[in-house]
Amino acid sequence: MSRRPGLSPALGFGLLAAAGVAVPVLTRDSYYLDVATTMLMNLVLTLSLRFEMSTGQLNMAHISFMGIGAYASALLVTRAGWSFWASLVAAPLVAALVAVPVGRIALRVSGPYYFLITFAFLEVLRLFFNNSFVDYLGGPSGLVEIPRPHPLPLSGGAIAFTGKLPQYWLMYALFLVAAAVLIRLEYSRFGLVASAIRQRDLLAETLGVDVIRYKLGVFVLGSFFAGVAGVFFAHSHQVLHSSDFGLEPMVLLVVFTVIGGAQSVWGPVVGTLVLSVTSELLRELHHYEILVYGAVLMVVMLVFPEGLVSLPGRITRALDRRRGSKARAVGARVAP
Amino acid sequence: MKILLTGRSGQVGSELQAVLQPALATDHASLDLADADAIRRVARELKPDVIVNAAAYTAVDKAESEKELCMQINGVAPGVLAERVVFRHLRGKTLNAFIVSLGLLWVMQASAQLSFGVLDKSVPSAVSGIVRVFGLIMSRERLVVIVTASALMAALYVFLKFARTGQAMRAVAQDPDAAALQGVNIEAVLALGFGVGCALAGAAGALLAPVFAVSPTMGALPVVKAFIIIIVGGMGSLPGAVLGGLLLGAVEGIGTLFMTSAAVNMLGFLIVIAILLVRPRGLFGVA
Repeated sequence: MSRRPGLSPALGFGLLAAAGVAVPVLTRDSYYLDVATTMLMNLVLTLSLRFEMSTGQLNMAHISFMGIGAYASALLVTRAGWSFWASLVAAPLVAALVAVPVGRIALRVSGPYYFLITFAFLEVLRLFFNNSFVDYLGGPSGLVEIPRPHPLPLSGGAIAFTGKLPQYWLMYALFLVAAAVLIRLEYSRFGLVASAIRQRDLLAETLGVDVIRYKLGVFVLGSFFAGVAGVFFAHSHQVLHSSDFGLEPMVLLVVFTVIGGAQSVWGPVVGTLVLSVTSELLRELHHYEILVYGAVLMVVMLVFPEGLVSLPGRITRALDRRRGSKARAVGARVAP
Repeated sequence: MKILLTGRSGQVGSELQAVLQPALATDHASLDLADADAIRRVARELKPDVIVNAAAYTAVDKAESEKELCMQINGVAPGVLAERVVFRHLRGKTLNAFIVSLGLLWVMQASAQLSFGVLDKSVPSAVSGIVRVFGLIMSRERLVVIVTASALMAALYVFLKFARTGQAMRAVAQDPDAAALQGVNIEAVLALGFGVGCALAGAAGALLAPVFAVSPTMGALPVVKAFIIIIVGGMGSLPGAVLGGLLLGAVEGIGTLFMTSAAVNMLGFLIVIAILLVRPRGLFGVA
């Protein structure tokens, strides 16, 4: 197995971790901290969505599992009186547990049908959050009064999570765990098998890969991390509404991932960071915001069909062509 | 028509050279396919309309040791050749097409909001009054909608079934390559298909406008319903779409007698899930 070209996983992860530490060092402004916290939460979602896409399936119900984690945690803490920290582990497990039967059903179809069936599931679950068990889930007016994360007892005191800064650090820690696991898996045998399944699942099957079990495993793990993001969302926003887990936020996750580049593990990172910053900058434009944002999406997709991560590879290839070096010109591909 | 033939010294290439009489025929000595720049240079100078690539790395037993070379000739060279003739486009890249159309949707919606405002606007009806059909009371306006929509669907069916252009569209849908070999101009047919589809969506909007209200986001609900209908009826089947539409309408109408409208909405998507599992192609869908 030869080393694949592109950013080394350790270096990339190190850069991300350092950038995360740099934010609160550079600013304590609550607006910037808020934006950065949301970015980290979205990164957990897009990294896990891309992880599922690496087996060639676009799960349109990914955000539903974030919703399951969020509602489960809100109920565990407010109704069952659990500590936030117990719920932080338990609620994502609930999302993963629900993912087992859902995945078993959805993975019976593939390709566009998988896209459609998961989209139908997204709508079913959104309507469920909106209209079922209104006494527990809050119904159309939403689930309110979810407490902030409980203080974390440590030797010599406790950390409270009332301010923006401690919440940022909490999300940062969750992000580091998710990123470490998902990036590590991408560069392991696991990632190679996923890639084999995406390219030709029948061939992978004949080589002894239990494709359905593998896809189910990926689906369940991806849903677990979506659940983790959901728990943080529930306790930092303190209000849940079914539309938080509808088509619109789901489409945004897909946009982040594909604009960044779904072929690479770094794609969702680039896409989430660039597009989050873009949309914050575009806020100045008020009514023109969506218009310009839509135009940006179209241009990026037409100029970079492989996503923004293909930019460095394309630049080096262009330079190589200029230098007349043909060997690397055709060999260079998008970073994994 | 200018033809560039590669691999003329091979078995396939030498036969093709006699038949096609290409403007330029190359072999390993005159054009090394492992050299991407050389390919581009030749293509740029000759500007061929068609490139027939009969060259291939066929030394199977040496392919292990000469992986690079094999990859260049069999994998990269056709890509470079294709790149010169065909523009990169979005066809076959579903996700990219999805995102581009989403961007277009946002641009158009925002433009409409900026020029017409975000509020619902009512459209005066062209016809007023009610009509009794077999004892059923119905507004004349809705009758107009039903009749016009039926006429449009019938026209579309006749067009696709009997008109030469319609037949060409179905041929392209079945097998674009085979259609192209029969002389169908794929680009024109695809553009026309897109145009006809958009025109019909526009007609639906015009029919809906007096019944409900006009707003930049009025398309959201019909799109979701259309999604359910197409899955139920089967993609690519017009009778399926009609039947799916009637079915969904009946389920929604009758369902609300027994359950809440939210539960009925959920039922629609549960039906979609069930159909996708049992009969992924829908009731009338073709592969």
